[in-house]
Amino acid sequence: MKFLAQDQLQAFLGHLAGESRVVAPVKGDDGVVLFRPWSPGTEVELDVLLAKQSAKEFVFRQSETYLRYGYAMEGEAAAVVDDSHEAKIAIDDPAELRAAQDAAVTAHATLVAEPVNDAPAQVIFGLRPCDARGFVQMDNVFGGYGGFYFDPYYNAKREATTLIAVTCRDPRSTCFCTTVGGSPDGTDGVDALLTQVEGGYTVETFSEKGEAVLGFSGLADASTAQTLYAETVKEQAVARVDIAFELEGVRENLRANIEDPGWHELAMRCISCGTCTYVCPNCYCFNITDEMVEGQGERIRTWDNCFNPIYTMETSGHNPREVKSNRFRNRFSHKFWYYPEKYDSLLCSGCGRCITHCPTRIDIREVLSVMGAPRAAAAPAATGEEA
Amino acid sequence: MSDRQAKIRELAAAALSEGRVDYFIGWKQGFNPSEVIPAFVRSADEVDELVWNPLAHHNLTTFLKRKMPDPPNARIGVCVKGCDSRTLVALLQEELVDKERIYVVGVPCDGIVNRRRIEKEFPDEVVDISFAGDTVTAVTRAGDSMEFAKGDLLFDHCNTCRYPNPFYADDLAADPVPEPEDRTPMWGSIEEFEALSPAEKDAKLAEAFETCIRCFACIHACPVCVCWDQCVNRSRRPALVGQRVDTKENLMFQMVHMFHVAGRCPSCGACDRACPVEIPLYLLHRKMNKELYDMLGFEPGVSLEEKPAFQTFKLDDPFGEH
Amino acid sequence: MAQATDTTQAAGTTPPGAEDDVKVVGIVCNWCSYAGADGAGTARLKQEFEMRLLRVPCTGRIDPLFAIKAFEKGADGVLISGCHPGDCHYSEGNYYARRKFELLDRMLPFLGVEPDRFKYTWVSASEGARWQKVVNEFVTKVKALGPREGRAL
Repeated sequence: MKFLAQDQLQAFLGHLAGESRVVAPVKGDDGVVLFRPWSPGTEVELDVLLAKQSAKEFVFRQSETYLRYGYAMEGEAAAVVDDSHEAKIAIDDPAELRAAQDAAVTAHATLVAEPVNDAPAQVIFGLRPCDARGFVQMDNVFGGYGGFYFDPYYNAKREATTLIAVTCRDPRSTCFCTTVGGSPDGTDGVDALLTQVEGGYTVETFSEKGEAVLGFSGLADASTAQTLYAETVKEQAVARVDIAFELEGVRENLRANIEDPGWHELAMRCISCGTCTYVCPNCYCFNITDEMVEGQGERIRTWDNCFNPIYTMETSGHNPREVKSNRFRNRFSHKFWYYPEKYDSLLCSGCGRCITHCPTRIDIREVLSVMGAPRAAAAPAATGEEA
Repeated sequence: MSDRQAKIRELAAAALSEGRVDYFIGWKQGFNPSEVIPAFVRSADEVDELVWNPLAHHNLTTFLKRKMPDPPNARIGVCVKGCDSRTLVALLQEELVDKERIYVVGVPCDGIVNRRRIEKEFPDEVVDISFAGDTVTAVTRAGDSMEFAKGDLLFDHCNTCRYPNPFYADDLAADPVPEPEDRTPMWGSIEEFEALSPAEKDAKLAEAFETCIRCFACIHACPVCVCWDQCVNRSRRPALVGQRVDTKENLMFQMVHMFHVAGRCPSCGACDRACPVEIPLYLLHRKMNKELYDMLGFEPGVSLEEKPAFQTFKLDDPFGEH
Repeated sequence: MAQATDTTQAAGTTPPGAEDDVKVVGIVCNWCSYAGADGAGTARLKQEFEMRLLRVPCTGRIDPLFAIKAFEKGADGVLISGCHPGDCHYSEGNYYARRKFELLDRMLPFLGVEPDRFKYTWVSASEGARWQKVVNEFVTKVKALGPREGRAL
């Protein structure tokens, strides 16, 4: 274990910034804490437990161009006409203008496509173990787990990213990481873990990437007292996180309760936005669209969200999840039943952001306590099917 | 205040037990005593969970709009504050809500406190907020507490509110609070922004909309934003807004929302409160309403007989004599 | 019919594609303003060439968001013109429109767009000379402000 003194923190970040972009929780002028690019002198906010957004956007970008394409002029025409068929020469010369116009009409343009996959080296500093765990959960989907899909765009950025987490000293009442197999001092996906002790932080590493940060000269060996203090901080933090619901049997119960009218009741105050999915460290649904103007364009991947009323809208106009409570049911079932069936792990790290950010405070813990438990068979009430 | 709470419970219980409504929408405590959330009550024995206090900020009329009632033909009871009743009137002006299917309990309001302002006083989590007269006491998980004067915590639009009493209601939960003698609207903080140079305004807006995550919370929390699955912000043809999430697209997205609610939005602030990254949306909508008032003396949602400003015209509208 | 007088504005002083070339969009109704512009063209009344016209059936068709979108996409100025109120080809279109444009006119400065970059007016089919004047004055003002750079809009 190493020790980083509090007054060495900025220097440490500066050292990391030598090789990579550094991203850390920073408080804005409006008091909102978000992960932002760090530059020397920027204060890092570690007293507030969770940044308002998770850090997933730095690896799984909210909107990401991965292909650029356009039509390019070939041959003789290219000398006089540019790629969008505009004359390259001055308007004043009528004869040349006429020649260019003829060339433009008969010119042959080919489609040129250029993949884009920029993956700058980066360090995400100051995230919490639940945030880091979110990446591991997405790695399963994008990273070729079990022979499924390997996403080169996600993986390039994931490879280039070092995660330096900070142990949670004061978990919130909305934290439930321990219920879903995590912990305030969890190391899933964490390259290096800092724990706040008196005068600074202990530093532990768990991977090659993590070990690379040990190159900072301002690190000392942690003393026995500091090591013990860190252990105490961790134990106390774990004790502060309540168990929110019984995980055992949740998958089977969700399956059994699929037609239960209780879903309608729980979804009543949901406004079907998308906040929960976007602030979640591991929600990964996405859309692919071509954004183009007159033959030049970009193919982009953007976050999608399963509460979007047209999330499952089909070209025919049929929408299997037209009813809000069906979309609501889908999100929790995906996280605690469909994804676990495929990947043997949960798609939730217990950060609680969905609870605190939801405009009506829908509580995932309440939903799982109710619908993840055995229910008495009830006659389905009006199911609210739309015409 | 507790009188209003008791009266809300009484009226809800009566409506439910007499079968006048299928469910009643009010407010209740959230996951701890510092949070208040919308409540959906289906039977008279559940009405004791309904509360009324200065944290009851939700505009519940959003649950009446297209595709929200569950089942779709439900008869619904709903609580409205002054500002909420204006969005309800805006919806009724356009017949977007069936008057026969709703039972409205009007709650005269003394102002709603901004919970985020309280949160920002502590790095630790706030787990309890209580009210005694004009004093607000907040307590954190670690047990630290702080007192505030309620007046210091009110939302901007509560400080400048001209319609504290719902004027569209079937029953009132209390006697009306004193109405301001002067109904001339006040526009508060937008004057500060108006005074900036164009470049400064651009910079401030860019800063705000850089953080937008296009979650649609503003659009879905807004009661008069009713297009839902047909929203032009989601459409690919026409593509007023693309899929790309960047500053310009995000501002365009908000402009679509803003111009489409123009004439129907009373700046209730629901959009602002729903935003997870705290973009000051309220500023834009309030400015829009200020201009609308200057142009036409029109205030959205104050009269059932009126039509929204942009769905009608007068032959002698004094504009455009350029 | 307007007299075929040449204006004193020196059109075409900035070559297209030059760095300080401004792009001005004009959204005009088919029946009055587009016809008026056509009239100006037939009479060979020189106009600042930076103006590009979009023709719509009626100003009532114009969503204020068209202007905002134009600015977002790089327009340096937007001009809207239609039939005089009372003369709308579809009777009422411009009555609805003028309320919306007035709001737009008041909101654009709040979004960081200088007031001289937007204008809405009424030009009839027989007002070719007036169209020339409107265009030249407007484009000159926009050119004085130069290309618009905005991060938000």
